[in-house]
Amino acid sequence: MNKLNIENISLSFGGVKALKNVSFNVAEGELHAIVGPNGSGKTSLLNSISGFYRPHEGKISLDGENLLKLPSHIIATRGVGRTFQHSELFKASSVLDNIKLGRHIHYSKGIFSNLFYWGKTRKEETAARKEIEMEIIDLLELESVRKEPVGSLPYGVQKRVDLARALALKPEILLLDEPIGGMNREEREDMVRYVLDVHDFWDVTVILVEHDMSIVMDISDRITVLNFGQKLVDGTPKEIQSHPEVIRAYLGDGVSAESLSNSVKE
Amino acid sequence: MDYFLFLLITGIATGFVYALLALGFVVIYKATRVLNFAQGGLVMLGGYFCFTTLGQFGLHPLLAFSLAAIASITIAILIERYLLKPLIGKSLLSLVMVTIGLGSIIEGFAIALYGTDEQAMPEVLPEFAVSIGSVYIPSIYVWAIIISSILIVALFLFFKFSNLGIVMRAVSNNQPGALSMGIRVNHIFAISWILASLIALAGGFILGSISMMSPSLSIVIYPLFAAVIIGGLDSIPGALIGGLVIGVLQLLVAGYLGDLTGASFKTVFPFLILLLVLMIKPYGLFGTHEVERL
Repeated sequence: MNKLNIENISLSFGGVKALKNVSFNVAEGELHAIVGPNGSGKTSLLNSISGFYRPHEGKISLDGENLLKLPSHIIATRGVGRTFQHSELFKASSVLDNIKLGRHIHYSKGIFSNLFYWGKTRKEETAARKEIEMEIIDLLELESVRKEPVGSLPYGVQKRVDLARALALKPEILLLDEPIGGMNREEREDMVRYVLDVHDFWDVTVILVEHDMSIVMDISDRITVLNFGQKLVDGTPKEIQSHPEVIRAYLGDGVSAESLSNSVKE
Repeated sequence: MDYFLFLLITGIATGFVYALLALGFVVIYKATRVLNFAQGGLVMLGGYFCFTTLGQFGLHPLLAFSLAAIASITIAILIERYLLKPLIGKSLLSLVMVTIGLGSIIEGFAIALYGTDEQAMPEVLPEFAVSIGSVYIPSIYVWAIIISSILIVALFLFFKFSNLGIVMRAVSNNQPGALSMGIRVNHIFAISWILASLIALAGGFILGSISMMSPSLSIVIYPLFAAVIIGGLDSIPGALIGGLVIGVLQLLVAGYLGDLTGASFKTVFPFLILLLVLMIKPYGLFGTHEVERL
């Protein structure tokens, strides 16, 4: 069954067409990667799904509901969590407070109980706190830094906090924007492991935007390739690897399929 | 010595009110990055709301203040919704021009409705005599300290512990991050304006009671702005200390140099302090140092 259907979306900024008639589907429980050269529209696509950008044409439906008809802040409550390329964390707050904010949408909405921290809100917060500490912090190994202000942490750890915060939303679909970009080798391996753990144990559908082709080929179930705002092709890693159009977009003409798969294997 | 003590205590009282009002300025700046030069106008308007409900309508204070609060909240929502929301993403200069213009409009309305004469705020707070040594302190100054410090502490607790306060800090810290958490960022903008207008209402009532009600009460924006910049614009403790420093120095200067320089020097003086502070600490005493990364 399809979790997310993207149908013919187009998005432009002034004269620049960021996305042109892009359509693809993401199945329930899938780890779906979106790849493409710089400026091909990967992040624009992610921003469209999470409601930051508004495509002027097309339809993005999550479990059959058109997300483009919803106000931006509601999209998160429908179970769309995301991380950012340059982690947009609350730098002055502690790791724990950052993660707890992700849980904010699941609290009761009563102004007074929120203001004065009474009754239901308090109970919910205690329950949420336990869950956050036990599951998310454990899973992402953030125990030792939970009281630290996020701004003081190394880059790789900040990316992990970003993921933890998105998880606190209890997302059904998780959008990851270059989770391993700018990391060293060790941090990359850790992050890939975390992403796989989250995908397996939390039962979430994951959409991953990533540059590193070897990792994408390794871990994704399906891949969509974008180029100049258009979908080039989608398919399994195997299909993508040998697809002539992909090779042309990435490496230019005159390169054989073998050399791409070799470069991928390295 | 007695004179000094009197000036010091009345200065501290004024400083507390400035500190409270400076908080209102900082709340809006932190959440929305708008420099609200209409804050002085809102203070004056808040004063007149109290003046009208208490004096002209002669209502019970509780009812009068509730009505005044409803009026302030309505104004704040209208300003946010119809003046500032359409300007989201525009340059800082346009936003500043809008708030300066708004301040003038509010002042114009007040002059049209109430005239330029000074009018006394009805006295609803119980009077009591406070004297330190041989110095007699009018009770309104004591009330100013009490009311302002209660509200300041309440605001601190609100931002530190309440969910709404934490969400507001999150928005001020990082808007895309807040949006991705399902926080209604535009609601938070409106709530900051509401908060600032309620602070202005309290400040307007106190300042109107200390001096007299007149449309020129809106010039409180000048010492206020100096206080906020000295404190460091985005720092809440900075706003408090800036407010206190400016309040005390302003009264001392008016008390000792008033005969020499004329009364208006009181308005200019905070800017002299501002210049001095900015020469030594360009981001104010507690402001965030902007680090440019290339």
